[in-house]
Amino acid sequence: MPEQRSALAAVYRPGRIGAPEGPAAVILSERLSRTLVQVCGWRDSFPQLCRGLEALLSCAIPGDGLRAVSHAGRSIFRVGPERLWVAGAADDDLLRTFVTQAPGEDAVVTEIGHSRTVVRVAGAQARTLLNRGLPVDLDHSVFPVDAFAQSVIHHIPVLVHRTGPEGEAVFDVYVTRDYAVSFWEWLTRVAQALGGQIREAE
Amino acid sequence: MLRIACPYCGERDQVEFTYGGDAASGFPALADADLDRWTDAVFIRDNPRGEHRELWQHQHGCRQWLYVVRDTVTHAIQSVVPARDASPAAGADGR
Repeated sequence: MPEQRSALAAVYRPGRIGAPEGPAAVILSERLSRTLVQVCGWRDSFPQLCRGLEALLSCAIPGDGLRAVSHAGRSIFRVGPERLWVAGAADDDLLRTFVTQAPGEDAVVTEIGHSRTVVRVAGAQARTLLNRGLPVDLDHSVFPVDAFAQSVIHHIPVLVHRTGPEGEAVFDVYVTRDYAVSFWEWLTRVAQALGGQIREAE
Repeated sequence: MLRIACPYCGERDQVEFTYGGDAASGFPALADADLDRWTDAVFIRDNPRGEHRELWQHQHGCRQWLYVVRDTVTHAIQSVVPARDASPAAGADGR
């Protein structure tokens, strides 16, 4: 698989933004070491496809577009009625094998990791930062760990996933590569007002 | 601002959706060359006061097309179902 090149390479500058001292209210980092696989099926055969995936990934397949299932370093999102995203580490051998294997006629499997930029937003003000543009309530009571939402920020389509650990505000934002720089400009501009830190890409 | 309860993603803000037009109006068969019928289907729309059946796409969410029954006076949404589960003739609520 070709080496992934960051869409943010020209604008990504680790360091403090906004307040130069004190604790960072938001911590931003790009997650480069991720892969993302899309699995699409057909209505009549999708339940059977899910059963096969459950056996392969050793976990349940989510039944709705509200909660992801995270297991063994992977997160599975039901992004449409018969469409799944499986996110995992870039060196996830199972996912890499899965993409290269012929899926048969019941599924279309596509590696789409290079078409998405993943930005992690963490810190005490992470929710405040995202809600400056995201029309989804991110309060823990209605958006707990593994909740996700496909929505729009600054007219840019995003998928926002609340990751662990429990009790902390950590969100992974999946942005289409074409809009990654625009999203990053919006994110860092709003983060400046709150005071934050940009960490080295993971 | 409307809030539409997507059957797949839950209640979401209008900015995630794109209006897809009147769901109650159909189109003539492709082999039908009658100009009046096509003009009527493409350009002429009712402007009802009250219940209106319409198509919306959850463009920034699950990308699914939905049949929505909305009151044009109050904006109250009466029902939302996946378009693939409701025939245009029957309407969004299956009636």
